[in-house]
Amino acid sequence: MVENVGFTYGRKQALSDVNWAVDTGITGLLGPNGAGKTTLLNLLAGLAKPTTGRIVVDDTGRSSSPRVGFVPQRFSLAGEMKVRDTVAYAAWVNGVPRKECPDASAKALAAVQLDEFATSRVRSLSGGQRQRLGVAAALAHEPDILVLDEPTVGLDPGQRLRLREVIADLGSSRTVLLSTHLIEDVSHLCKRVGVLAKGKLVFDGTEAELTTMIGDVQLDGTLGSSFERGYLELINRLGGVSE
Amino acid sequence: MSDRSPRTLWPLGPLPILVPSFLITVTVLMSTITMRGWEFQEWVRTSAEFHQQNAFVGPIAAAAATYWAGRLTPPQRVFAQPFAARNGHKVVILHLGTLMTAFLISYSVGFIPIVAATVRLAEYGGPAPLVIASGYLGVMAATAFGYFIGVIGRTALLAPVSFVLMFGVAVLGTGGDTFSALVPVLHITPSLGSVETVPFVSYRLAFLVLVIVSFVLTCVGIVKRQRSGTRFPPLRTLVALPLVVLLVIPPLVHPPALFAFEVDPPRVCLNEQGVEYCVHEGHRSQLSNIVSAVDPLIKIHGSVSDVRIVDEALRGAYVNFDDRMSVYAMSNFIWYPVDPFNSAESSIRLVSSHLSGLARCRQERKYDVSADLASDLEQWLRTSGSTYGENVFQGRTVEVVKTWIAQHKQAIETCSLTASQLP
Repeated sequence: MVENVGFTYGRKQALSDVNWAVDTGITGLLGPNGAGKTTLLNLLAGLAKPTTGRIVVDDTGRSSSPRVGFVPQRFSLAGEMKVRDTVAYAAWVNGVPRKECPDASAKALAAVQLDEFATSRVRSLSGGQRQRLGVAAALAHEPDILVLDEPTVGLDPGQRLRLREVIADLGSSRTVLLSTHLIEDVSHLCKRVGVLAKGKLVFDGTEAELTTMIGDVQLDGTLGSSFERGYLELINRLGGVSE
Repeated sequence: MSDRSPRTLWPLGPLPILVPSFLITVTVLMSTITMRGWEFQEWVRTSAEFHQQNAFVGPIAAAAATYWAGRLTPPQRVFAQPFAARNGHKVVILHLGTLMTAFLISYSVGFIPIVAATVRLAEYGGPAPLVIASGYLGVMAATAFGYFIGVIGRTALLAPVSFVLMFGVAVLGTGGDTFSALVPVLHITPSLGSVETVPFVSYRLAFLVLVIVSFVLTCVGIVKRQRSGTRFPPLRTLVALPLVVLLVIPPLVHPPALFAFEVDPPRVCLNEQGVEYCVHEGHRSQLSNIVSAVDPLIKIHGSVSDVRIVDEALRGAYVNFDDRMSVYAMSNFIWYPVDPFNSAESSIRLVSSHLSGLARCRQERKYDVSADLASDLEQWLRTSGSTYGENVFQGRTVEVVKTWIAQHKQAIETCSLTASQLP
């Protein structure tokens, strides 16, 4: 749960008084560039501390960075490493005891449907497979929250569908926070959606509510003007923000 | 490794560890191959090799560590995110622990043959633990330095740069005493009769430990706090490095004495035909070789009396060329280098120079007829009359020259022979 969270970079207010409860399942985070999405994700991942407010992990009210698995929008892998070693090493770095890393690796690879590539070199994987490997690496230590920043960007339709399947499976048993520009990702995956604009959470509701607000016409496209128009319409309605 | 065992200890696979480790072992083996052929060994030389071999091993270790860090620690790696539970000291300790362990083992393996030879053939003393430790610390410091370059550079492509930088550091020590307290590779190695001084070795050990600790702490700070969006690490992660600079200054201002010489070292002496031969206890086995090499010279000379031939290891100070050729040529005292890499035959030139008066000529910087005649006599003595090239004694019988030497002993010793005095 994000409580009254604010964050400033120097004099710039990146987030202001954000209150947001994220529950089990997949929650989408939408917002135009500069809205504060990455800042909020960084705070959730523990990469920075809120200037004001707090992030509460569980029902006890403990205020700290939750155990997070984070897949940044841009990440790199070591091509010479084996797929299973990459995930096992990620598991170890994230605190899994060494003896348990092999099992953690196997489990995470199965979850992202990469188990058949376990002994392959990372360099032999396609773009979509690498993206799923990134998810597996973030998943290996079984985090409380899995944060995915624009995971489907740059993937072809087939790869995108496969990754969506994986994310949908993951969301059935844990909290997944999905930051995306693709409204289609949200409509297919997210139970709840938050929209950030100019550092403020301007919408927090269900995917159905969001769909209603934007309108069916704008939701039928994934790219180009229909998405942008729908998106701007939503922001204009909710926050009075104009681009 | 089975399919059930992913590698967390060396996630990059075995090659980035095994290749440099193999190179380290081969480098040490090849560099000590000549030593292993020596007729006798000295612990002081073998101990010093442990730091002298840092010259190439250090750059190899540094380059390998840069590669390792450049592949595993950049913050854009999905498995190197700053918030990860073990990112920081546990990651750095795992990486450097793996690298250092492999490199120190391979370094040790390379030394096994020469150490075995020294155990077998050294007649005096034992290994110098602090000196040997400085060699191992040198490898560790090179590894930590290379790792630091990889962490701060965030790329394995800097591995060649680390190699060159580390080699440059090693070369610093070969330039003279100035950097010797800081760099593991010395410009000279000690020999029997001398030891690396305790203050010198201690300072170097302390400095290397500080280098290792500083680089490790710096790397921990950077790995823990670096962000993929920013190129430079926070300044506070670099606070340990000025300590290294601070410890560089004192030995540069006051270079410590590198070597101390044994006081009253144990000796073994033998008198043979009026000539006293003395060697260091550690050269006991060479005494008979020296007598065998020098005795024919004494016999063919025929007029030698009251001469002492003494092992340089007994001198208690440096012996240089001038010492050998001048200072002691005035007395009947000859410093004799007993080096494992020199045959006794090659050292007898010092004795023949003394007996022919050539050493006296050199000491007085004479380059006239007297010096030419002394040079011819030196060759005649050394070759037992089998001279080569143009030599005024060529064709003379041993008895004729012996008699002539006895008659002109005074002129020979004072480098004042003239052509008219020739036999």
